[in-house]
Amino acid sequence: MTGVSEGKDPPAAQNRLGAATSPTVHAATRRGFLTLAAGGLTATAVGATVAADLYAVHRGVFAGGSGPAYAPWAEWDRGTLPLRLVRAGILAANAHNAQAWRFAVTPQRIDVHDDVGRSLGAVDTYRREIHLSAGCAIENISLAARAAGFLPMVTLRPDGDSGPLARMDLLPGTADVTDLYQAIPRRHTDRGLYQRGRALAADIPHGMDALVDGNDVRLLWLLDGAQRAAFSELTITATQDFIADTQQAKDDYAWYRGTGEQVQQHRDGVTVDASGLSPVLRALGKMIPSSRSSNGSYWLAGTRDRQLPTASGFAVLLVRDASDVVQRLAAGRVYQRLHLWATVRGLAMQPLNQVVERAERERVTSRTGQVSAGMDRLVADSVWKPVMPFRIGYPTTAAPASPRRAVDDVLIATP
Amino acid sequence: MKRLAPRVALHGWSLLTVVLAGGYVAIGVSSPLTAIRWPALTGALLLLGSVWLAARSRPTAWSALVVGAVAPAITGWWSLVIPMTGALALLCGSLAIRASTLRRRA
Repeated sequence: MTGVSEGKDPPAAQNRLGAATSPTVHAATRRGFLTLAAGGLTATAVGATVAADLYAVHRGVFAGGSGPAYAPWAEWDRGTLPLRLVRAGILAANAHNAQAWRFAVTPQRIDVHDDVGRSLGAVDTYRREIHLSAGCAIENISLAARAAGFLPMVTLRPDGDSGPLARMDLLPGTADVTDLYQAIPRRHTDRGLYQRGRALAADIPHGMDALVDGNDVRLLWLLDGAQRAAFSELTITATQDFIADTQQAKDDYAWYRGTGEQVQQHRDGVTVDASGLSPVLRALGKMIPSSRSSNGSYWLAGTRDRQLPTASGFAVLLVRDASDVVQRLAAGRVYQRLHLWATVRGLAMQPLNQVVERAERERVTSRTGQVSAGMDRLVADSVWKPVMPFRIGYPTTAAPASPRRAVDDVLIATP
Repeated sequence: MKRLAPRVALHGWSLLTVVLAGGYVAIGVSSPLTAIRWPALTGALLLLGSVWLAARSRPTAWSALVVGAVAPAITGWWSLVIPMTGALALLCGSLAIRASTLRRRA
């Protein structure tokens, strides 16, 4: 790896005596040394680069949304009934991708249970988000049941405070394959950039309002400049407070899956791929081990610089009694319906729960709540309580899928 | 020395190019992403081909080297490590091709 040979060999006698060596010898030696050094440096760089390649492979940089953890998205409408309905259920939107649900399946019935072993801790002290998530799964199962020719009779909290969250009796019906059903595997939470400055088409809020059923759930739109600014400011404050709250930040970080290996092992949680970061930052995020602090910084920056300013609008799902599990489940069903409808229309959505999470946390810690007071001002109606704010807009890229546990992992054995 | 050095140079740069092709193989084999898998595997083959062709057909070796090193770097620009691998492959591969010429002259 050297070009020393191009120079002429020095006269031996002169070298042995240590007397004045010819300039040609000096030049050849210097050139040889420099060539050797350059070769050594390049060899080292090659070694380091190939090591980086292998490290990147190990950290899942090139795996991007593949492997067994993502297989449920492709297998959602396969298998026998009624298990196929559960496959649709587990693709539902859910908080922190905790998938805190379990299903007891018989030929004529599916019971949806709260998997109390899976908790968001101080992020969701009252399990509001877990119940909303279960509502999303119920909606997916209901749509899949209709598509399969069943008439699903859904009873929320059939046995009161104990027992399943919902019971779905599968009565004979006629097949109804709707657009919402077909959008189930295409619906993904989009945490990335939306098209900046693009206003929501006028018919979107009306179309979504029409999907809200029952008397206990309502949709509040925050579309004008002042409302959007107030909500954005409140969300940034809530995010900052969240990160500063050690317990809340710790419980949030517990659901972070930084590497491909973690994703395939846990098949849940918030992944780097689904974080909405740019491709370069995603690659770096997988290669450089993260900390709770760095994670918080990226979250705040993403919320403030990307998610809030590029949204076409915000909306908040409201219920009459935020502590009522049935109303939470009903709100969850509505959210899933809205998100599927938005997917059909080519819109992107993302829950922004920081404000409600902080308001609840303020209640738990008995602190005077600037966030809860701010949210009350935004809602401006003492009858209705916020349970789920979200942003909506026009996507700039296709939102990636999140990992999902296998159906076998969420089934409760039935006699 | 006169005869040995070009051979060392040829084998050294060729070996480094082959090692870098190995990096492309590792990436290609592990990635299910079409935009990464096939460019990386094809790039690795072209890099190996450029080493083999260096003493046989310089223009073909140069073409194989440039396409093999650059194409995966473009499709996987975001990963940082692929462009780095491509840049080094271009450097080592070009020096291997040059060294092969020296060998013929020597």
